[in-house]
Amino acid sequence: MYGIVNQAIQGLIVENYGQNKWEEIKKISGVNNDYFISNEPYEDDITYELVAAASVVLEIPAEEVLRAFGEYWVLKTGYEKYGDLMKAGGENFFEFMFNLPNFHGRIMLIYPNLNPPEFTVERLSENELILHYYSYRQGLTEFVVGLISGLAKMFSELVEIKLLESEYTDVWHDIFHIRIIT
Amino acid sequence: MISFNNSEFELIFPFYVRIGSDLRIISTGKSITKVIGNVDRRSFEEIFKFIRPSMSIKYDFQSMMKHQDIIIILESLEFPIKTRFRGQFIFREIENEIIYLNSPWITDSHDLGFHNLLISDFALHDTITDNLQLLKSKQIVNEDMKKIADEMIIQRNELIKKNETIEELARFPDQNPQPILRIDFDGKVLYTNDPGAQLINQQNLLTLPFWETIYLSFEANGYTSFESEFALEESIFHATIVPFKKKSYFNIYLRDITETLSFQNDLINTSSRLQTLISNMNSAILAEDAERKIILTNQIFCDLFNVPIEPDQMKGIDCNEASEVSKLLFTDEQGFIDRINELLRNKKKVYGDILNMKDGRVLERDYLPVFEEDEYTGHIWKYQDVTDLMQTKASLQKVEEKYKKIIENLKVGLIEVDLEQNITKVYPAFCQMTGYSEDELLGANAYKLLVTDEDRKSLEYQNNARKKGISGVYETRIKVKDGAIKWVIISGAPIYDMHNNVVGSLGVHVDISERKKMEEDLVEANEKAMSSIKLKEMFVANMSHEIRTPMNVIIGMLDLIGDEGLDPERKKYIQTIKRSASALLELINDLLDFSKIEAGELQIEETNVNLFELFQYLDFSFSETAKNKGIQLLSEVDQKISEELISDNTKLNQVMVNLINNAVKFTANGFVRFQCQLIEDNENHQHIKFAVSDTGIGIANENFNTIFQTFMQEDSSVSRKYGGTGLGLSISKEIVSRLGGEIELQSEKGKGSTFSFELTLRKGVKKKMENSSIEINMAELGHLHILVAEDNPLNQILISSIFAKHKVNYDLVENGEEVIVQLTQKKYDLILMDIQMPLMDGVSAAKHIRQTLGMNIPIIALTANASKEDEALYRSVGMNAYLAKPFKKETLFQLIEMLVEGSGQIEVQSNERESVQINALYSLKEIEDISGGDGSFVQSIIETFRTNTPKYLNEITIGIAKNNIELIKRNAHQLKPSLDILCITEGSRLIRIIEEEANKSTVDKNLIASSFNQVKNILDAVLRDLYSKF
Repeated sequence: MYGIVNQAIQGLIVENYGQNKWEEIKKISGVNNDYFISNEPYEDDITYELVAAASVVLEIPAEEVLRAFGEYWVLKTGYEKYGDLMKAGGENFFEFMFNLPNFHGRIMLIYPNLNPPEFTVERLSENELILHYYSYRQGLTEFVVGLISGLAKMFSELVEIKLLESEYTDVWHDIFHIRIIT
Repeated sequence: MISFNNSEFELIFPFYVRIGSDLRIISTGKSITKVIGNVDRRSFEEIFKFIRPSMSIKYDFQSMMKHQDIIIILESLEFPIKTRFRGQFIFREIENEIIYLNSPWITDSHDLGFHNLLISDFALHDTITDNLQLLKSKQIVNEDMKKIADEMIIQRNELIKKNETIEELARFPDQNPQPILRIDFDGKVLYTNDPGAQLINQQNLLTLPFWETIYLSFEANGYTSFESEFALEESIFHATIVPFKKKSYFNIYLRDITETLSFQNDLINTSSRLQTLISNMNSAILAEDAERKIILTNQIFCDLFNVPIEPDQMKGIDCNEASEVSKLLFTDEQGFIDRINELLRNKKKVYGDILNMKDGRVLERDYLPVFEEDEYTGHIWKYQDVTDLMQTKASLQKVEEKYKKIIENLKVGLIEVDLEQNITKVYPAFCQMTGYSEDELLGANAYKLLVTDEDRKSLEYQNNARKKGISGVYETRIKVKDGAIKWVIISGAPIYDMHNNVVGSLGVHVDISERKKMEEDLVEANEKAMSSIKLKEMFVANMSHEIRTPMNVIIGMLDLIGDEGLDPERKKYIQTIKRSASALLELINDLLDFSKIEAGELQIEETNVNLFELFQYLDFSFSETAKNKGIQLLSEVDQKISEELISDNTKLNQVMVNLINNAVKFTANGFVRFQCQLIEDNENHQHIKFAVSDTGIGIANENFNTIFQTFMQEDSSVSRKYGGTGLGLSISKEIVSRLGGEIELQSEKGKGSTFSFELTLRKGVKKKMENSSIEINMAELGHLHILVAEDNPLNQILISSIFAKHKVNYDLVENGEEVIVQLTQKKYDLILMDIQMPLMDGVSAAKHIRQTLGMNIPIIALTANASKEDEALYRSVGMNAYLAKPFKKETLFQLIEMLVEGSGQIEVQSNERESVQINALYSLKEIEDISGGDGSFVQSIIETFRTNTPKYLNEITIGIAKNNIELIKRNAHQLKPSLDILCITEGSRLIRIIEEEANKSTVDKNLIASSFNQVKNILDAVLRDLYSKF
């Protein structure tokens, strides 16, 4: 994954729990990197180790770390670093969700070695949709939940996210049902 | 509506790809053709691979149609350099085709050449090439940033490392265990380590003397370094003071020198103490160096050798020369010199050389060579005046000799042995005791040489105790040299070595053979005395018997007279004689019982007991006496008590008679009550309380125990007033105890007494043949012919009177021989045989009748004394019953009738109290025991017996008639077990005689025949009885 991801984890931890906790997490995870460069690709394992160590040090389940990280990724990393691009993603949550499949396609220009997930969206009604999430990476379902929840917060909307099904063949495939409540 | 021609379209989208619904490529733009070549009509799937989306899209026209609104990234597959294209699908409905509008997706301008592309190959509006420049510059900046960051990290790490080094160095003074201080010239402490701080706080370093020392030095010498010492409260410190004038401070480096100083002081002290020690020693000391020059000596040395100068002045004197002068003091002058030279040569420690001086003194000398690190540096002589000591030693030796002689003269044998019992030291007295010489004993094994086989075990035990360090005194036998055995008392004590280990033991032996002999003599004398007492007891017992016989006659005669009808005066005399005789008989019986108890011969026999009858009898017996004394006699028997109980009727009767007799005797008015009460009733037993109460004189509490003692009454006045032997209660107590109870007494002086006891009596089985069931038909006895054998004239008269009175035919003989003679001449129905008779006694006569004469005639033994053993003897010789004297005529007649009529084995035991017990012909007890309550088993045994017995008897009869011994033997053998199991004792005995005889080489046919006749009679009676009952 690109350094920007690990940077985001670092930001999340330092902002919420302080530098010491971050150092501790790094120590436990065995990750020696003093800093991460946004557009440098790093081993996926680094990200996974950091999430696992954060779970241990902060004494919260790894799923919760991933959800928090998903929200942070949208609200802080996305919004602060690529604010304009995010804003251009859609007028509202629903629109943004339909533009989501192209989002990574565009970003790939900046991150040519990106191996991003793919999304497809099906409209069910005015306020309901089905989101398919495909990825070569495993175990990031809760991160996706965090992302969606972050996006809803970005658009000040309240959504209900239900994981309908998860399957793994060659790739990881989660199917979410998303309903806008407000 | 905007429409382009081909060249216009190509200008706008030089990289387009047209894909037909069959997924074949229709055509491509000129610029993409440059990159991938002409791929017209080729399959889309062969040429392109989906990069993005890759997971949701398929190589399917429909699927591709659905992905019009998404960025499509494809990668060309066939070409040496894979090129990626980024664009979108447009579906053209009219043509039913998809156009892929795209630009090559190149991330580095450097790559353009690789893909065979020029900027002019791109449409002018396409910003991809411009973006490439942008990306490139970003990449460059990124790399620069990364370099800077890496450099920063390296620098940071170096800084951390240096910081650590500085910190580590800064700790150096802190880690110094000695105090360090930095003080500015104004006296302010700028720095101190922990030991320094302690010095300031705990030992008050910074006091006036400290500042004075510093100030004075700086004053005198300017700001130069100097050293000083500070004596503080607990310690002394050496200080190095280093001033730094420019910095206006000085450093002080301190070192604790307290121990060093103390050690130096110790050294000095030790040295002077050594000097003092030598000066003050009680011995003369002379220390010389390797050249024999004097280093040190003391006043005693000077005195001892009459040296006229002070010890200090002797230092440095050459002893080689001095010896030549000194030798004159000693008796052996040359010896003195030679020995010194020898010692100096050998340079080895020597203690205790004795030197005699001409003036009579004796000196003891030690020589101690001194080595320092293996190098000989001189030596010390130590002389001591031991004149007194030598004299004391000599006198001690004399004393020791004296005591040694005393010990030797004592008859105490001392030896010492090692742990294996080997003798290590012998004293002369032990040699005398054992007869061995010292040489023979030394080294010999005491165990093997002296210990007898019998004592080996106890000696082993003793030896083990010694090994554990335990002393002991014990008696044992020893084998001496001449083979004799001596008794010795040994006091053994362990011997220890220097390390407190047991290495052996010391044995002090005292010969106690004499004492042992005396002990044995004493035991023998005691045994003799005991046997003499036994003899006396036997005499009393025999005398009782002897007295009882005439008494028996007297009472019998009185019975006869009593029947005659006398005038009142004479009747009274007779009654008085009768009472006295009864009292005398009672006394004799008590004595006899007592002697039996004393001899442990009191026999308890199980008989039927009917308490109703017993109490009736008691009531009857005492009613006359009670009436005469004017007291009430109350007899009470609990109606719940069984009539069929098993105990010793005679003994129970005796106890009750005794207790009632006493009660009547000691009661002047009121009543005597005797009762029995059921306490507990269960299936097999009844627990009954017997009590005799009176309103007599009573017994004082403190005498309760006395009255049960032999020959004791409550006090001597009782004996005088009421008479009696004082044996009654102690006999009763013993009998009750043997019956399983205990007599208890409740009494109050003057108010009366109650004697009670409780017994558990077994429930009996009602037997057919009982006293009451036997009716004597005197008339039927008239035809009988009885032979009486009795040597005692008085008894002869008694029996004769009885028989004469009842018209029984009888002949009287006086011994066994006469019985035999009489039997050959006349036919008799029964013999009444006294046991003790001259010439031939009753037992021998009976034996002869059965075995020699082979006669089956019933024989009743008459005896005054019948123990169990006696009974067995009578039975074994074939006597049918026995009658204990004195007997009542009714008993005699009962017995005669039963024997003559029943022809069976009937045992009658009778005595003066008229208890009659008749054993059955047979007993089913054994079968019943075996059956465990199974009645059918008993029945089947009886059935078998009834069926088989006549057959066996018949066979034996035939055997006798035909002289077929084998037949007799076989059937006798068959019969034997059934007689045993039915307890037909006499039959069993006889059948064994038959069997034994039949086994002999020469057979006595007469014996077989006579025995068989008896067996047949017995078995006929048994069979009759069995048929009547079962």
